Amino acid sequence: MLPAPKLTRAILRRTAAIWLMMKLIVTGGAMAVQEAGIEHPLREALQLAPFAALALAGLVYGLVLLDAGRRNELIFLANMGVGRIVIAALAAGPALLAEVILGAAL
Amino acid sequence: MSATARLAAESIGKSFGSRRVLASASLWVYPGSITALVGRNGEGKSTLLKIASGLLRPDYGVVRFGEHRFTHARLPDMARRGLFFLPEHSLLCRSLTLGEHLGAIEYHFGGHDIEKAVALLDIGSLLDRAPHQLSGGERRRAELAMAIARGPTCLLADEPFLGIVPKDAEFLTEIFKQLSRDGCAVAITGHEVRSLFDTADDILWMTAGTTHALGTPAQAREHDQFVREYLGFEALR
Repeated sequence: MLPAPKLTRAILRRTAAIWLMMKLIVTGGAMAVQEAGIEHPLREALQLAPFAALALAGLVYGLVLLDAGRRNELIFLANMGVGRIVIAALAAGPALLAEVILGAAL
Repeated sequence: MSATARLAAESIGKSFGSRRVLASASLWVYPGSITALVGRNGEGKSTLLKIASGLLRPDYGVVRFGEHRFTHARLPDMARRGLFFLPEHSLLCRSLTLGEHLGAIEYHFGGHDIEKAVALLDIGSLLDRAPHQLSGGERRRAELAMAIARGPTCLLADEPFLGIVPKDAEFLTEIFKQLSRDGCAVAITGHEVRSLFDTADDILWMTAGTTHALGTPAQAREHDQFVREYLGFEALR
């Protein structure tokens, strides 16, 4: 079961903000690496490869989880019967979807 | 002893790195009864409560809640079956008002007891407030209101009397007793001997990584080793 609507919306908003921030950082880093002509795995981030998408989604999940813990939401949600799998779906799911959409659009 | 316990955490062991906190500790919580878990700081009271609630994984031992046996209990699974855990630090989310917390409980479990909880804990005037706008006593009342609104079959409360004034402690004592009278199995921890002994039906003493069932508070006061090593003779006067 999803968290109550207000919490679900709050988590999704944070997921979007964190994904966007991470995307900008990773893309910026990848472009800098490419400009410098350095061979580095970060360059893969520009090509929207599956591994890069999964790694970014995992990173977003980790950051959303940390943020939810900081806000006392994890223990409250656990008391409501909402487990980490649901939070993972709310965090990593949209991040992966955004990567797929972006990949298709480009 | 565990035959009719609603929640039983048995033969629990837990180490953090090289430091063994629990060697063979057990907790039994019975319907309609309040168990107080007492012991010195660092003896593992909170660790045992977290393991019993599924927040922490034990190195060994078994947790049973109702008919279900868990070798790795998880709070969300147990919460769906009727457990409610009040942590030592705040349960309230920073992003929700108190009213929104109660709304979330209504969304997940139905809102049968919300009005009763608001009236009983006298928090009607606090519903629009965020957690940081509440005093320590108000926060504890709000958290207990959430527990009552949930209507749990088992409540585990870690240090519920910590940092609150005696008047609020008396009030909380009455609320725990009310929950117990309604059939809830309640376990609480803490150091506030007077409040805990006024509240509890059974005392569990935690020392050297294990637990000792001392019986009623009156029986605990007559336990020589407990008095000598934990309670102190002043408490008997």
